[in-house]
Amino acid sequence: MIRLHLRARGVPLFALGLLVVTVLAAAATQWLTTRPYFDPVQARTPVIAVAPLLAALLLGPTLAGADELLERGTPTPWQLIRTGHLAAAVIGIGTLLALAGRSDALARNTLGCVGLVAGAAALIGVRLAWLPVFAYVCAVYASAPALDDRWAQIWAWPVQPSTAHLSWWPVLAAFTAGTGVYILRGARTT
Amino acid sequence: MIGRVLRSDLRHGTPPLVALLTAIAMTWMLAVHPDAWAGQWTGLSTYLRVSLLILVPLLVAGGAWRIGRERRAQLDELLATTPRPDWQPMLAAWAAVTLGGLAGAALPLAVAMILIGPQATHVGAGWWWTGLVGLLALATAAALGVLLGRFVPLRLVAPVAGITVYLGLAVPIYLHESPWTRLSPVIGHAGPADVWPVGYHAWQAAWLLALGAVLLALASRRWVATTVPALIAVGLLVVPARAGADFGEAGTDAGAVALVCTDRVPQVCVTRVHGFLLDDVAAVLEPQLRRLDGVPGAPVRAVDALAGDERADTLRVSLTQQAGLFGKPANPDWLRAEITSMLYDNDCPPVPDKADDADAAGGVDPATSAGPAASADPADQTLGQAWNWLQELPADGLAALPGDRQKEWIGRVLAAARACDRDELRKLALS
Repeated sequence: MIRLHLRARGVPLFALGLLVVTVLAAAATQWLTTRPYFDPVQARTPVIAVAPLLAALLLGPTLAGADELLERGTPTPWQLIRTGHLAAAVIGIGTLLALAGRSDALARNTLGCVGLVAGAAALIGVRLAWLPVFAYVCAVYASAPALDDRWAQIWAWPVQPSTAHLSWWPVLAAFTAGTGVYILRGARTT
Repeated sequence: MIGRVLRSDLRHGTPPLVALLTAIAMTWMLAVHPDAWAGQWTGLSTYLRVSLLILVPLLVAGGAWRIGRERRAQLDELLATTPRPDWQPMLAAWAAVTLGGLAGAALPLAVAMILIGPQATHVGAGWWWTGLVGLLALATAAALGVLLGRFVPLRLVAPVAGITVYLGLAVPIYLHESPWTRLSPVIGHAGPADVWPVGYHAWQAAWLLALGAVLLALASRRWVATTVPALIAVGLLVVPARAGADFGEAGTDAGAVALVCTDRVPQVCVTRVHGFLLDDVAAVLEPQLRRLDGVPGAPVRAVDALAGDERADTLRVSLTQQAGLFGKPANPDWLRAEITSMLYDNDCPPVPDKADDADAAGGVDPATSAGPAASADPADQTLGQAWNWLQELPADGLAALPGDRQKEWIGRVLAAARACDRDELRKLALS
């Protein structure tokens, strides 16, 4: 049953993609942190912002099956399955990326990006679930916000270091709201 | 036939969205760094090439998204049964995305050109070549997107391709010593007087055209047609391989760094490329230079640092971040603090137990700090008092001396700072 669920949602492809992202994140972290002209704290910012985003984008298509309405007609505890699906994904992505990039900020951004993708899947469907988080993280990254500004720690959480305590609050809010609405309603059907 | 598809695409398809996103991205890039292009034609064309770091991934994502439309709508098999050649709709899709991207970038660039027109005091030879190659890069980027969208049947190909291309373009910026980084159309760092030979631009244009043709031929599965542009592209790769590390290195535009000066004393000079700032720069620096009149060894004129004037009687002023949107200095506070660079920017060896480079020079970064750092070292206190005097701030101890003694003391501090003689600076400390 679990194997069928995973295959129906393209999880093997997602796992392969996550592996590639992890290897690239580890290589990029090693390269960036050994450049003499980079600030050692800020050097990881591209990895911190981009790796969880890519992993969450790849997760998006796994949040719905080929025919959601048909699946929901079966006597299956879907809310429990969705919870397990998301929990396994978050633990897998967060652990791999945090180890590869050697930063807690990667775990934080995994929570935030997965929350946004899950919420978008519930509200606009998996086809475009990648779009809001992609646009948001790209906009924040391009705006190069100040790292010592309290408001920037909140709205620009994708590029903040893990020691910016305020940056965890919007992430926890996005994760709770996004995963909550997805677990309760599932992906939007078209 | 292609014309009808193209017109329909330009009105209703992905290209209007690409145009909107490109316009937003280009506007954003121009807005965050007006100092890189305001009043400077060469600066604008170079900054377009810097902005390609964002625009190229957008066009790649746009091309991939557009070409996947038929597949997402599950119309690809139906369209394959029509007698229309395979390359026609593909070419129309590429042209539409390219035109959308070009139109989106053109609007903010046109506004920037309208702003530059009345201000610019220097028109470099062939500056437009740099911009033209940048526009060609957008067409090649759309072709790459079309190819990826055609052969990678994933729903996420557009965002993943965009991010991957962004990273692929960002890394070579930090490997600029390799001639192979010249294959990327993105320029990472460039000064306001940097120019490249026309031959280099022509090589880059030919490379991008050949690469674009290869990508389009591959996307339309015209394997034979791929051969000619592929051979040309491979042939063009010989150029950087033979030229070595100097290939594509920027030179200095002699006309851009020629000096334009005030005809008053003390004299203030800026390079011609910054000529539109002369009146405002002179208004800030002339009173400061007049205050130094009578100080032994003090500068008697101020010159734009871009000119590379190393004379001892000259204060070098950095204007690379001063060009404002409407021809005024963007950071007049930094300009006022430039005079204190005589105390700190003397390439002195680092002082042990100092936290960073600015401190290591014996004080603070004059461009960003409001005043000298508190320090128990008498040498730093001497520099701090001299800093205050130069900035016309209250300087305890120094104020008690008569005017000519003050100037003599400042002259000795300047000489010691230039010589990196911290022992002498300690001896000069005022109680």
